[in-house]
Amino acid sequence: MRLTGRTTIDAERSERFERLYRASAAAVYAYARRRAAPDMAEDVVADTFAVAWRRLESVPEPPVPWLLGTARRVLANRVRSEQRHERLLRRLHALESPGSPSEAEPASVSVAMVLEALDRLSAREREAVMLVAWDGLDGAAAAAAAGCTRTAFSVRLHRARRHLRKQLGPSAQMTDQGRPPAVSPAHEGPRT
Amino acid sequence: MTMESPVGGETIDSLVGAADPLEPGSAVSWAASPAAEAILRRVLAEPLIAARPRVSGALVAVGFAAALALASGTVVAAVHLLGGPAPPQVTRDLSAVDQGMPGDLRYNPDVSHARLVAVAGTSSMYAADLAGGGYCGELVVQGRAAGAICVTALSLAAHPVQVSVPFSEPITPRSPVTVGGRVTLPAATAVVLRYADGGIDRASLTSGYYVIEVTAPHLGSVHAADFSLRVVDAAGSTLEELTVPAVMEEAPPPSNSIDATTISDSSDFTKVLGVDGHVPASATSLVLRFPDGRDLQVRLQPDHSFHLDIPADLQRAFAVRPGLLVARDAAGDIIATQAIESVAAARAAGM
Repeated sequence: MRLTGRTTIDAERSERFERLYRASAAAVYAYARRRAAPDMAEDVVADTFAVAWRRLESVPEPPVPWLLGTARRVLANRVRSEQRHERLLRRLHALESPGSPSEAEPASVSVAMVLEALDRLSAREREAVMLVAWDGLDGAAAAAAAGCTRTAFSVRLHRARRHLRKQLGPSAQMTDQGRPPAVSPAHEGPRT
Repeated sequence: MTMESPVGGETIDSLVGAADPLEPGSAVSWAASPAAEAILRRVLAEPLIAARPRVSGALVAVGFAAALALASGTVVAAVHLLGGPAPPQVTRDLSAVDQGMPGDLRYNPDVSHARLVAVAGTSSMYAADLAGGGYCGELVVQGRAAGAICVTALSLAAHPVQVSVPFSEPITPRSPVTVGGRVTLPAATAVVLRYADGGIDRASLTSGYYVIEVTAPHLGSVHAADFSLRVVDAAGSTLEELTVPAVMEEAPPPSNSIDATTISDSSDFTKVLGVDGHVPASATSLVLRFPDGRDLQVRLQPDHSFHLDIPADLQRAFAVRPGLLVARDAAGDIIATQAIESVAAARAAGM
Protein backbone atom coordinates (compact mmCIF):
# COMPACT_ATOMS: atom_id res chain seq x y z
CA MET A 1 0.00 0.00 0.00
CA ARG A 2 1.37 3.41 -0.93
CA LEU A 3 -0.22 6.73 -0.45
CA THR A 4 2.54 8.84 -1.95
CA GLY A 5 4.79 8.62 -4.96
CA ARG A 6 2.03 10.31 -6.79
CA THR A 7 3.02 10.24 -10.44
CA THR A 8 3.39 6.49 -10.84
CA ILE A 9 0.44 5.71 -8.67
CA ASP A 10 -1.78 8.23 -10.43
CA ALA A 11 -1.06 6.62 -13.80
CA GLU A 12 -1.77 3.14 -12.49
CA ARG A 13 -4.85 4.30 -10.67
CA SER A 14 -6.15 6.14 -13.70
CA GLU A 15 -5.76 3.11 -15.93
CA ARG A 16 -7.39 0.82 -13.42
CA PHE A 17 -10.20 3.27 -12.85
CA GLU A 18 -10.82 3.74 -16.55
CA ARG A 19 -11.09 -0.02 -17.00
CA LEU A 20 -13.53 -0.16 -14.12
CA TYR A 21 -15.58 2.70 -15.53
CA ARG A 22 -15.79 1.31 -19.05
CA ALA A 23 -16.79 -2.11 -17.76
CA SER A 24 -19.34 -0.94 -15.23
CA ALA A 25 -20.74 2.46 -16.22
CA ALA A 26 -23.65 0.93 -18.13
CA ALA A 27 -24.73 -1.15 -15.15
CA VAL A 28 -24.54 1.83 -12.79
CA TYR A 29 -26.39 4.07 -15.24
CA ALA A 30 -29.06 1.41 -15.73
CA TYR A 31 -29.48 1.13 -11.97
CA ALA A 32 -29.79 4.89 -11.57
CA ARG A 33 -31.99 5.41 -14.62
CA ARG A 34 -34.48 2.83 -13.40
CA ARG A 35 -34.91 4.87 -10.27
CA ALA A 36 -34.47 8.46 -11.41
CA ALA A 37 -34.83 10.91 -14.27
CA PRO A 38 -32.05 10.98 -16.89
CA ASP A 39 -30.24 14.06 -15.59
CA MET A 40 -30.24 12.77 -12.04
CA ALA A 41 -29.13 9.35 -13.24
CA GLU A 42 -26.04 10.93 -14.80
CA ASP A 43 -25.34 12.80 -11.58
CA VAL A 44 -25.62 9.54 -9.66
CA VAL A 45 -23.15 7.88 -12.04
CA ALA A 46 -20.74 10.78 -11.58
CA ASP A 47 -21.00 10.74 -7.80
CA THR A 48 -20.75 6.96 -7.64
CA PHE A 49 -17.60 6.79 -9.69
CA ALA A 50 -16.15 9.76 -7.84
CA VAL A 51 -16.42 7.66 -4.70
CA ALA A 52 -14.91 4.70 -6.54
CA TRP A 53 -12.05 6.91 -7.70
CA ARG A 54 -11.28 7.98 -4.15
CA ARG A 55 -11.71 4.47 -2.76
CA LEU A 56 -10.31 2.45 -5.62
CA GLU A 57 -8.33 0.24 -3.26
CA SER A 58 -11.57 -0.74 -1.56
CA VAL A 59 -13.50 -1.67 -4.69
CA PRO A 60 -13.88 -5.46 -4.63
CA GLU A 61 -14.17 -8.01 -7.41
CA PRO A 62 -16.69 -8.22 -8.90
CA PRO A 63 -17.19 -4.47 -8.59
CA VAL A 64 -20.79 -4.07 -9.74
CA PRO A 65 -22.52 -4.95 -6.44
CA TRP A 66 -20.25 -2.51 -4.61
CA LEU A 67 -20.90 0.18 -7.20
CA LEU A 68 -24.65 -0.35 -7.06
CA GLY A 69 -24.52 -0.19 -3.28
CA THR A 70 -22.71 3.13 -3.56
CA ALA A 71 -25.17 4.33 -6.18
CA ARG A 72 -28.00 3.37 -3.85
CA ARG A 73 -26.63 5.63 -1.12
CA VAL A 74 -25.94 8.47 -3.55
CA LEU A 75 -29.43 8.21 -4.93
CA ALA A 76 -30.97 8.04 -1.46
CA ASN A 77 -29.31 11.32 -0.58
CA ARG A 78 -30.68 12.94 -3.68
CA VAL A 79 -34.25 11.76 -3.57
CA ARG A 80 -34.86 11.68 0.17
CA SER A 81 -36.97 14.78 0.08
CA GLU A 82 -39.11 13.70 -2.80
CA GLN A 83 -42.56 12.33 -2.33
CA ARG A 84 -43.37 8.75 -3.19
CA HIS A 85 -46.08 9.68 -5.64
CA GLU A 86 -43.61 11.84 -7.54
CA ARG A 87 -41.38 8.82 -8.02
CA LEU A 88 -44.34 6.85 -9.26
CA LEU A 89 -45.31 9.59 -11.69
CA ARG A 90 -41.77 9.60 -13.04
CA ARG A 91 -41.87 5.89 -13.68
CA LEU A 92 -45.27 6.11 -15.31
CA HIS A 93 -44.03 9.00 -17.43
CA ALA A 94 -41.10 6.88 -18.52
CA LEU A 95 -43.52 4.19 -19.57
CA GLU A 96 -45.42 6.63 -21.75
CA SER A 97 -42.32 7.65 -23.70
CA PRO A 98 -42.02 6.39 -27.30
CA GLY A 99 -40.72 2.87 -27.59
CA SER A 100 -41.34 2.01 -23.98
CA PRO A 101 -42.80 -1.39 -23.11
CA SER A 102 -46.18 0.12 -22.36
CA GLU A 103 -46.50 1.42 -25.91
CA ALA A 104 -45.00 -1.61 -27.56
CA GLU A 105 -47.35 -4.00 -25.83
CA PRO A 106 -51.05 -3.79 -25.21
CA ALA A 107 -50.72 -4.84 -21.58
CA SER A 108 -49.74 -1.47 -20.12
CA VAL A 109 -52.40 -1.69 -17.45
CA SER A 110 -50.64 -4.71 -16.00
CA VAL A 111 -47.36 -2.86 -16.03
CA ALA A 112 -48.95 0.07 -14.25
CA MET A 113 -50.38 -2.31 -11.67
CA VAL A 114 -46.96 -3.77 -11.05
CA LEU A 115 -45.42 -0.32 -10.67
CA GLU A 116 -48.13 0.76 -8.30
CA ALA A 117 -47.67 -2.42 -6.31
CA LEU A 118 -43.94 -1.80 -6.20
CA ASP A 119 -44.51 1.71 -4.96
CA ARG A 120 -46.61 0.43 -2.09
CA LEU A 121 -43.77 -1.76 -0.83
CA SER A 122 -41.39 -0.51 1.81
CA ALA A 123 -38.25 1.03 0.37
CA ARG A 124 -36.13 -1.94 1.37
CA GLU A 125 -38.51 -4.51 -0.05
CA ARG A 126 -38.89 -2.56 -3.27
CA GLU A 127 -35.14 -2.28 -3.64
CA ALA A 128 -34.72 -6.02 -3.02
CA VAL A 129 -37.08 -7.11 -5.75
CA MET A 130 -35.81 -4.46 -8.18
CA LEU A 131 -32.19 -5.51 -7.69
CA VAL A 132 -33.16 -9.04 -8.68
CA ALA A 133 -35.82 -8.43 -11.32
CA TRP A 134 -34.47 -5.25 -12.94
CA ASP A 135 -30.75 -5.16 -12.24
CA GLY A 136 -30.36 -8.90 -12.67
CA LEU A 137 -28.26 -9.55 -9.57
CA ASP A 138 -28.19 -12.92 -7.83
CA GLY A 139 -28.75 -13.22 -4.09
CA ALA A 140 -25.17 -12.62 -2.96
CA ALA A 141 -24.56 -9.70 -5.30
CA ALA A 142 -27.92 -8.12 -4.52
CA ALA A 143 -27.24 -8.43 -0.79
CA ALA A 144 -23.92 -6.67 -1.26
CA ALA A 145 -25.59 -3.91 -3.25
CA ALA A 146 -28.32 -3.56 -0.64
CA GLY A 147 -25.75 -3.39 2.14
CA CYS A 148 -27.05 -6.30 4.15
CA THR A 149 -26.34 -9.96 4.79
CA ARG A 150 -27.49 -12.56 2.35
CA THR A 151 -29.89 -13.95 4.93
CA ALA A 152 -31.39 -10.53 5.57
CA PHE A 153 -31.72 -9.97 1.85
CA SER A 154 -33.48 -13.31 1.39
CA VAL A 155 -35.99 -12.30 4.05
CA ARG A 156 -36.58 -8.93 2.39
CA LEU A 157 -37.01 -10.52 -1.01
CA HIS A 158 -39.36 -13.14 0.37
CA ARG A 159 -41.50 -10.47 2.01
CA ALA A 160 -41.44 -8.31 -1.10
CA ARG A 161 -42.59 -11.17 -3.29
CA ARG A 162 -45.28 -12.12 -0.80
CA HIS A 163 -46.59 -8.55 -0.63
CA LEU A 164 -46.51 -8.22 -4.40
CA ARG A 165 -48.34 -11.49 -4.86
CA LYS A 166 -50.96 -10.31 -2.41
CA GLN A 167 -51.40 -7.00 -4.22
CA LEU A 168 -51.26 -8.42 -7.73
CA GLY A 169 -53.51 -11.33 -6.85
CA PRO A 170 -55.28 -11.90 -10.18
CA SER A 171 -52.17 -11.25 -12.28
CA ALA A 172 -50.00 -13.51 -10.21
CA GLN A 173 -52.61 -16.24 -10.24
CA MET A 174 -52.98 -15.91 -13.95
CA THR A 175 -49.31 -16.56 -14.57
CA ASP A 176 -49.21 -19.24 -11.88
CA GLN A 177 -51.67 -21.16 -14.04
CA GLY A 178 -49.20 -21.28 -16.86
CA ARG A 179 -49.80 -18.14 -18.84
CA PRO A 180 -46.71 -16.11 -19.58
CA PRO A 181 -46.31 -12.59 -18.25
CA ALA A 182 -48.20 -9.99 -20.21
CA VAL A 183 -45.06 -8.30 -21.52
CA SER A 184 -41.55 -9.56 -22.02
CA PRO A 185 -38.97 -8.50 -19.48
CA ALA A 186 -36.64 -5.82 -20.76
CA HIS A 187 -33.51 -6.38 -18.74
CA GLU A 188 -30.26 -4.57 -18.90
CA GLY A 189 -27.17 -4.68 -16.76
CA PRO A 190 -25.32 -7.57 -15.21
CA ARG A 191 -26.70 -11.07 -15.09
CA THR A 192 -24.64 -12.90 -12.59
CA MET B 1 -39.47 -19.66 8.35
CA THR B 2 -41.51 -20.71 5.38
CA MET B 3 -39.50 -20.03 2.26
CA GLU B 4 -41.03 -19.17 -1.03
CA SER B 5 -41.22 -21.74 -3.77
CA PRO B 6 -38.94 -21.04 -6.73
CA VAL B 7 -41.85 -21.00 -9.09
CA GLY B 8 -43.70 -18.34 -7.12
CA GLY B 9 -40.62 -16.15 -6.85
CA GLU B 10 -39.84 -16.44 -10.52
CA THR B 11 -43.40 -15.53 -11.43
CA ILE B 12 -43.33 -12.38 -9.38
CA ASP B 13 -39.86 -11.52 -10.66
CA SER B 14 -41.08 -11.96 -14.23
CA LEU B 15 -43.99 -9.63 -13.61
CA VAL B 16 -41.69 -7.05 -12.08
CA GLY B 17 -39.13 -7.56 -14.83
CA ALA B 18 -41.82 -6.92 -17.41
CA ALA B 19 -42.40 -3.53 -15.82
CA ASP B 20 -38.76 -2.51 -16.18
CA PRO B 21 -38.96 1.08 -17.49
CA LEU B 22 -35.52 0.98 -19.06
CA GLU B 23 -35.40 0.51 -22.80
CA PRO B 24 -33.21 -2.42 -23.86
CA GLY B 25 -29.74 -1.32 -24.86
CA SER B 26 -30.20 2.27 -23.68
CA ALA B 27 -27.71 2.00 -20.81
CA VAL B 28 -25.06 0.46 -23.05
CA SER B 29 -25.66 3.23 -25.57
CA TRP B 30 -25.37 5.82 -22.85
CA ALA B 31 -22.08 4.35 -21.65
CA ALA B 32 -20.65 4.99 -25.12
CA SER B 33 -22.02 8.54 -25.28
CA PRO B 34 -20.12 11.82 -24.93
CA ALA B 35 -21.95 12.42 -21.65
CA ALA B 36 -20.51 9.21 -20.17
CA GLU B 37 -17.06 10.08 -21.47
CA ALA B 38 -17.31 13.54 -19.93
CA ILE B 39 -18.09 12.04 -16.55
CA LEU B 40 -15.06 9.76 -16.81
CA ARG B 41 -12.78 12.68 -17.64
CA ARG B 42 -14.26 14.83 -14.90
CA VAL B 43 -13.76 12.18 -12.25
CA LEU B 44 -10.23 11.44 -13.40
CA ALA B 45 -9.45 15.13 -13.13
CA GLU B 46 -10.66 15.19 -9.54
CA PRO B 47 -7.73 15.42 -7.10
CA LEU B 48 -7.45 12.49 -4.75
CA ILE B 49 -9.08 14.31 -1.93
CA ALA B 50 -12.42 13.73 -0.35
CA ALA B 51 -15.37 15.72 0.77
CA ARG B 52 -15.91 16.30 4.46
CA PRO B 53 -18.37 13.99 6.18
CA ARG B 54 -22.00 14.54 5.37
CA VAL B 55 -24.41 14.67 8.19
CA SER B 56 -27.68 13.84 6.59
CA GLY B 57 -29.18 13.72 3.17
CA ALA B 58 -28.99 16.89 1.19
CA LEU B 59 -27.87 18.71 4.32
CA VAL B 60 -24.25 18.52 3.50
CA ALA B 61 -22.22 19.97 6.27
CA VAL B 62 -23.86 20.65 9.55
CA GLY B 63 -20.31 20.19 10.58
CA PHE B 64 -17.83 22.08 12.67
CA ALA B 65 -19.69 20.64 15.64
CA ALA B 66 -17.19 19.64 18.25
CA ALA B 67 -14.57 21.53 16.33
CA LEU B 68 -15.51 24.64 18.21
CA ALA B 69 -14.93 22.86 21.46
CA LEU B 70 -11.55 21.73 20.18
CA ALA B 71 -10.47 25.05 18.78
CA SER B 72 -8.13 26.37 21.40
CA GLY B 73 -7.21 29.75 20.03
CA THR B 74 -9.27 32.86 19.83
CA VAL B 75 -9.29 35.39 17.08
CA VAL B 76 -8.72 38.94 18.12
CA ALA B 77 -11.07 41.27 16.28
CA ALA B 78 -12.61 40.32 12.98
CA VAL B 79 -11.88 42.77 10.22
CA HIS B 80 -15.37 43.52 9.00
CA LEU B 81 -14.34 44.29 5.46
CA LEU B 82 -15.43 41.73 2.92
CA GLY B 83 -12.46 40.49 0.97
CA GLY B 84 -10.09 41.45 3.77
CA PRO B 85 -7.38 38.98 4.78
CA ALA B 86 -8.05 36.19 7.24
CA PRO B 87 -6.53 36.59 10.72
CA PRO B 88 -3.59 34.37 11.73
CA GLN B 89 -5.71 31.90 13.71
CA VAL B 90 -7.88 31.25 10.67
CA THR B 91 -4.96 30.87 8.28
CA ARG B 92 -3.37 28.44 10.74
CA ASP B 93 -6.59 26.41 10.87
CA LEU B 94 -6.94 26.43 7.09
CA SER B 95 -3.32 25.31 6.72
CA ALA B 96 -3.88 22.57 9.28
CA VAL B 97 -6.56 20.79 7.27
CA ASP B 98 -3.82 18.80 5.54
CA GLN B 99 -1.71 18.19 8.63
CA GLY B 100 -0.88 14.52 8.98
CA MET B 101 -2.55 13.67 5.68
CA PRO B 102 -0.73 11.81 2.92
CA GLY B 103 -0.12 13.80 -0.25
CA ASP B 104 -2.89 12.07 -2.16
CA LEU B 105 -5.51 13.18 0.34
CA ARG B 106 -4.53 16.80 0.78
CA TYR B 107 -6.87 19.67 -0.07
CA ASN B 108 -4.05 22.23 -0.51
CA PRO B 109 -6.21 25.35 0.02
CA ASP B 110 -4.84 28.67 -1.22
CA VAL B 111 -4.31 29.94 2.30
CA SER B 112 -2.29 32.95 1.19
CA HIS B 113 -5.50 34.33 -0.32
CA ALA B 114 -7.84 33.34 2.51
CA ARG B 115 -10.34 36.18 2.95
CA LEU B 116 -13.42 37.38 4.77
CA VAL B 117 -16.47 36.33 2.74
CA ALA B 118 -19.50 36.98 4.99
CA VAL B 119 -20.30 38.75 8.25
CA ALA B 120 -23.28 38.87 10.63
CA GLY B 121 -23.11 40.45 14.09
CA THR B 122 -20.20 38.86 15.92
CA SER B 123 -19.85 36.02 13.40
CA SER B 124 -17.58 35.97 10.36
CA MET B 125 -16.80 33.47 7.68
CA TYR B 126 -13.45 33.15 5.93
CA ALA B 127 -12.65 31.08 2.86
CA ALA B 128 -9.68 29.90 0.82
CA ASP B 129 -10.09 28.48 -2.67
CA LEU B 130 -9.13 24.99 -3.77
CA ALA B 131 -7.48 24.40 -7.12
CA GLY B 132 -10.14 23.38 -9.63
CA GLY B 133 -13.00 24.80 -7.56
CA GLY B 134 -14.23 24.15 -4.08
CA TYR B 135 -13.05 25.88 -0.95
CA CYS B 136 -11.99 25.52 2.64
CA GLY B 137 -13.93 27.72 5.04
CA GLU B 138 -13.99 28.60 8.69
CA LEU B 139 -16.57 30.38 10.80
CA VAL B 140 -15.47 32.63 13.63
CA VAL B 141 -18.17 33.03 16.26
CA GLN B 142 -17.80 35.54 19.07
CA GLY B 143 -14.07 35.66 18.46
CA ARG B 144 -13.58 31.90 18.50
CA ALA B 145 -12.53 30.01 15.40
CA ALA B 146 -14.78 27.02 14.88
CA GLY B 147 -12.46 24.78 12.88
CA ALA B 148 -12.01 24.59 9.14
CA ILE B 149 -13.91 22.38 6.73
CA CYS B 150 -13.22 21.79 3.05
CA VAL B 151 -15.61 21.15 0.17
CA THR B 152 -14.33 19.92 -3.18
CA ALA B 153 -15.62 21.11 -6.54
CA LEU B 154 -17.29 17.77 -7.09
CA SER B 155 -19.14 18.03 -3.80
CA LEU B 156 -20.17 21.58 -4.55
CA ALA B 157 -21.61 20.45 -7.85
CA ALA B 158 -23.52 17.66 -6.16
CA HIS B 159 -24.61 19.72 -3.15
CA PRO B 160 -24.98 23.37 -4.11
CA VAL B 161 -26.22 24.37 -0.66
CA GLN B 162 -23.61 24.01 2.07
CA VAL B 163 -24.64 24.47 5.69
CA SER B 164 -22.50 24.57 8.81
CA VAL B 165 -23.67 25.06 12.37
CA PRO B 166 -20.78 25.20 14.81
CA PHE B 167 -21.45 24.83 18.52
CA SER B 168 -19.53 24.38 21.72
CA GLU B 169 -20.49 22.08 24.52
CA PRO B 170 -22.32 22.13 26.81
CA ILE B 171 -25.27 23.27 24.76
CA THR B 172 -27.97 25.10 26.68
CA PRO B 173 -31.28 26.56 25.47
CA ARG B 174 -29.59 29.98 25.44
CA SER B 175 -26.40 28.97 23.64
CA PRO B 176 -25.82 31.22 20.62
CA VAL B 177 -26.30 29.60 17.22
CA THR B 178 -24.70 30.73 13.98
CA VAL B 179 -25.50 29.21 10.61
CA GLY B 180 -23.08 29.73 7.76
CA GLY B 181 -22.09 28.24 4.45
CA ARG B 182 -22.09 28.69 0.73
CA VAL B 183 -24.69 28.45 -2.04
CA THR B 184 -23.72 27.86 -5.67
CA LEU B 185 -27.19 27.93 -7.24
CA PRO B 186 -26.86 30.56 -10.01
CA ALA B 187 -30.02 32.56 -9.27
CA ALA B 188 -29.74 32.48 -5.50
CA THR B 189 -29.63 35.82 -3.71
CA ALA B 190 -30.46 35.08 -0.07
CA VAL B 191 -30.91 32.42 2.59
CA VAL B 192 -33.93 32.38 4.90
CA LEU B 193 -34.17 30.44 8.14
CA ARG B 194 -37.67 29.58 9.35
CA TYR B 195 -37.88 28.24 12.88
CA ALA B 196 -40.44 25.93 14.42
CA ASP B 197 -41.80 28.84 16.45
CA GLY B 198 -42.64 30.67 13.23
CA GLY B 199 -39.76 33.15 13.43
CA ILE B 200 -37.59 34.04 10.46
CA ASP B 201 -34.02 35.27 10.01
CA ARG B 202 -32.41 35.93 6.65
CA ALA B 203 -29.13 36.97 5.07
CA SER B 204 -28.13 38.07 1.61
CA LEU B 205 -25.48 36.08 -0.18
CA THR B 206 -22.10 37.69 -0.77
CA SER B 207 -20.36 35.85 -3.59
CA GLY B 208 -22.46 32.86 -2.59
CA TYR B 209 -21.45 32.88 1.08
CA TYR B 210 -23.72 33.64 4.02
CA VAL B 211 -23.71 33.88 7.80
CA ILE B 212 -26.82 34.16 9.96
CA GLU B 213 -26.90 34.57 13.73
CA VAL B 214 -30.13 33.15 15.12
CA THR B 215 -31.80 36.03 16.92
CA ALA B 216 -32.33 35.72 20.68
CA PRO B 217 -36.11 35.15 20.70
CA HIS B 218 -35.68 32.02 18.57
CA LEU B 219 -32.72 30.37 20.29
CA GLY B 220 -35.00 28.16 22.37
CA SER B 221 -36.72 26.96 19.21
CA VAL B 222 -33.57 26.00 17.30
CA HIS B 223 -32.28 24.10 20.35
CA ALA B 224 -35.52 22.14 20.58
CA ALA B 225 -36.71 21.52 17.03
CA ASP B 226 -35.48 21.17 13.48
CA PHE B 227 -35.72 24.30 11.35
CA SER B 228 -35.77 24.99 7.63
CA LEU B 229 -33.22 26.75 5.47
CA ARG B 230 -34.58 28.16 2.21
CA VAL B 231 -32.48 29.48 -0.63
CA VAL B 232 -34.40 32.14 -2.55
CA ASP B 233 -33.93 34.19 -5.71
CA ALA B 234 -34.42 37.91 -6.18
CA ALA B 235 -38.18 37.43 -6.53
CA GLY B 236 -38.35 35.52 -3.26
CA SER B 237 -39.05 32.20 -4.94
CA THR B 238 -37.65 29.13 -3.21
CA LEU B 239 -34.84 27.46 -5.14
CA GLU B 240 -33.91 24.87 -2.53
CA GLU B 241 -35.09 24.01 0.95
CA LEU B 242 -33.28 21.91 3.56
CA THR B 243 -34.08 20.84 7.07
CA VAL B 244 -31.44 21.65 9.66
CA PRO B 245 -31.46 19.38 12.73
CA ALA B 246 -32.08 20.98 16.11
CA VAL B 247 -28.85 22.11 17.77
CA MET B 248 -28.70 19.86 20.80
CA GLU B 249 -26.38 17.46 22.57
CA GLU B 250 -25.94 14.19 20.78
CA ALA B 251 -27.98 11.38 22.25
CA PRO B 252 -25.87 8.78 24.03
CA PRO B 253 -25.22 5.70 21.92
CA PRO B 254 -27.69 2.87 22.40
CA SER B 255 -26.71 0.48 25.18
CA ASN B 256 -26.56 -2.45 22.77
CA SER B 257 -23.84 -0.90 20.62
CA ILE B 258 -20.08 -0.49 20.88
CA ASP B 259 -19.07 3.05 21.74
CA ALA B 260 -15.55 3.36 20.34
CA THR B 261 -13.09 6.19 19.81
CA THR B 262 -9.92 5.92 17.77
CA ILE B 263 -6.75 7.57 19.06
CA SER B 264 -4.58 9.45 16.56
CA ASP B 265 -2.28 12.44 16.59
CA SER B 266 -1.83 15.07 13.97
CA SER B 267 1.65 13.90 12.98
CA ASP B 268 0.18 11.17 10.78
CA PHE B 269 -3.53 10.66 10.31
CA THR B 270 -3.01 7.44 8.39
CA LYS B 271 -2.22 5.82 11.75
CA VAL B 272 -4.56 4.62 14.46
CA LEU B 273 -2.55 4.53 17.68
CA GLY B 274 -5.24 2.95 19.81
CA VAL B 275 -8.91 2.38 20.41
CA ASP B 276 -10.98 2.82 23.54
CA GLY B 277 -14.62 2.82 24.51
CA HIS B 278 -17.39 0.69 25.99
CA VAL B 279 -19.15 -2.52 24.97
CA PRO B 280 -22.71 -3.64 25.78
CA ALA B 281 -23.07 -5.12 29.26
CA SER B 282 -23.76 -8.57 27.83
CA ALA B 283 -20.45 -8.67 25.96
CA THR B 284 -17.87 -11.09 27.32
CA SER B 285 -15.24 -10.77 24.61
CA LEU B 286 -14.08 -8.19 22.12
CA VAL B 287 -11.90 -8.65 19.05
CA LEU B 288 -10.39 -6.07 16.72
CA ARG B 289 -10.42 -7.49 13.20
CA PHE B 290 -7.85 -5.90 10.89
CA PRO B 291 -8.54 -5.32 7.19
CA ASP B 292 -6.22 -8.21 6.30
CA GLY B 293 -8.36 -10.56 8.40
CA ARG B 294 -6.13 -10.98 11.42
CA ASP B 295 -7.73 -10.67 14.87
CA LEU B 296 -6.44 -9.01 18.02
CA GLN B 297 -8.12 -9.79 21.34
CA VAL B 298 -9.11 -6.71 23.35
CA ARG B 299 -9.22 -6.95 27.12
CA LEU B 300 -12.55 -5.91 28.67
CA GLN B 301 -12.70 -4.19 32.06
CA PRO B 302 -15.36 -4.97 34.70
CA ASP B 303 -17.12 -1.69 33.89
CA HIS B 304 -17.37 -2.85 30.24
CA SER B 305 -14.79 -0.35 29.07
CA PHE B 306 -11.76 -1.19 26.96
CA HIS B 307 -8.53 0.39 25.87
CA LEU B 308 -6.18 -1.04 23.28
CA ASP B 309 -2.78 0.32 22.30
CA ILE B 310 -2.23 -0.89 18.76
CA PRO B 311 1.26 -2.29 18.17
CA ALA B 312 3.43 0.10 16.16
CA ASP B 313 3.74 -2.22 13.19
CA LEU B 314 -0.05 -2.38 12.83
CA GLN B 315 -0.92 1.27 13.30
CA ARG B 316 -1.13 1.92 9.56
CA ALA B 317 -3.37 -1.07 8.97
CA PHE B 318 -6.43 1.19 8.86
CA ALA B 319 -4.92 3.82 6.57
CA VAL B 320 -7.10 2.93 3.63
CA ARG B 321 -9.54 0.24 4.68
CA PRO B 322 -11.61 -0.07 7.84
CA GLY B 323 -11.31 -2.75 10.47
CA LEU B 324 -14.04 -4.02 12.74
CA LEU B 325 -14.56 -4.37 16.47
CA VAL B 326 -16.62 -7.50 17.17
CA ALA B 327 -18.25 -8.05 20.57
CA ARG B 328 -19.58 -11.48 21.50
CA ASP B 329 -21.66 -12.73 24.40
CA ALA B 330 -21.02 -15.76 26.59
CA ALA B 331 -22.57 -18.05 23.99
CA GLY B 332 -20.14 -16.79 21.38
CA ASP B 333 -22.78 -14.98 19.39
CA ILE B 334 -21.94 -11.61 17.87
CA ILE B 335 -23.96 -8.93 19.65
CA ALA B 336 -22.40 -5.76 18.25
CA THR B 337 -19.85 -4.53 15.75
CA GLN B 338 -18.23 -1.18 15.11
CA ALA B 339 -16.08 -0.11 12.16
CA ILE B 340 -12.66 1.34 12.92
CA GLU B 341 -10.84 3.53 10.43
CA SER B 342 -8.11 6.15 10.36
CA VAL B 343 -8.82 9.86 10.00
CA ALA B 344 -7.26 9.67 6.52
CA ALA B 345 -9.56 6.81 5.53
CA ALA B 346 -12.56 8.78 6.76
CA ARG B 347 -11.52 11.70 4.56
CA ALA B 348 -10.99 9.40 1.60
CA ALA B 349 -14.38 7.79 2.07
CA GLY B 350 -16.09 11.08 1.37
CA MET B 351 -19.65 9.77 2.18
